Amino acid sequence: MTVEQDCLAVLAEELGPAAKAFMTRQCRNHLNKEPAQLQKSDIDELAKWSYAGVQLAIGAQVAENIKKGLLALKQKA
Amino acid sequence: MKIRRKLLLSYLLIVALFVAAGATITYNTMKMAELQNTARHQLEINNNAYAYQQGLDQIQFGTLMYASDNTTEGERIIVASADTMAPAETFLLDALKNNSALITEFNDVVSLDKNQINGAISNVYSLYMGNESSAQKYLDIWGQLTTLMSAVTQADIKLAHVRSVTLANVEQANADAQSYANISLIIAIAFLALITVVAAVLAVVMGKRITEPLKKLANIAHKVSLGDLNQRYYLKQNIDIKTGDEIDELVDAFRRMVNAFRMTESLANEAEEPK
Repeated sequence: MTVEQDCLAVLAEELGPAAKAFMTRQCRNHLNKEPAQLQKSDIDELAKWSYAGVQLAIGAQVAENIKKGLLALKQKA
Repeated sequence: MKIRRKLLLSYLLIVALFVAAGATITYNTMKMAELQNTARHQLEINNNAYAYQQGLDQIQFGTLMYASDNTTEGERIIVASADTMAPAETFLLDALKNNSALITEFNDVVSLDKNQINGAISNVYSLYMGNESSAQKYLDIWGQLTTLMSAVTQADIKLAHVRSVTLANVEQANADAQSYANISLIIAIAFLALITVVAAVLAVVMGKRITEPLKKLANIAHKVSLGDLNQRYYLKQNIDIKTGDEIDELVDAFRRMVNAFRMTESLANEAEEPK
């Protein structure tokens, strides 16, 4: 699986069908790249901006879950 | 645990209670059947002891008739009595062989019969057929009859004791059977009450554990359907509803769906905002 697919899977756990649109928005606006171009080194940034975005839209608890899930991807081989 | 497993366990608990009640009552019924056999056997012993007792009395009566010059009828009665007593004796010797007290008593009776009673009868025959002078002959016959009656009385007493013991055994067996029947009745009533209570408790608890979370979720779904996507509802539910079964999965899916609504709404609002 690519980094994009891994991140999408984590986001979909909490955001369901809105995950893809949200990830695309965060990548474009904050990482200045398309989701398909995501690298493992981008995960920290994506986690940070995902936390911020989800906290505003939904709440801190869900944002925390997503952040933990994304950061856990860094350990993945 | 899944709902199906919870329901299955509840069902198994009730079945286990039924099986326990059934096993106990079956055991008691088997015991009662055993006691019934014991009582029947003791009654058979009693009947045969009675037959033997009657036989001795008839022998005594037949000998008296014989000595009273009614030889034909006397002989007939004595022979008939012996025919009655023979099978009774065979049965009693076999049936009482495991009861040392009663077999000793019955062996005494048989000994009295074979020695004193039969001896007295033979003597009465001999004396009756003899050529003694009439007065002495009847005095001697009377003496033998006295011996015969004394022996029959002793045998009667011993047989009466055997019969009283067997009747006591029958009464004891009946009392024990009644006790088992009473216990079975109590067990049946107790288990019926227990099963009713357990089934009612399980129905209430299981019903509540299944329907309560669903009711809460339905309430939230209703609010969401009216456009209220406020997070506090489903977050609160996420804490309250923890059943560990399919309802948890439903709550998770519902929570994800509401998150998606909120995120979609947020992204849409952002798109509408002037840059």
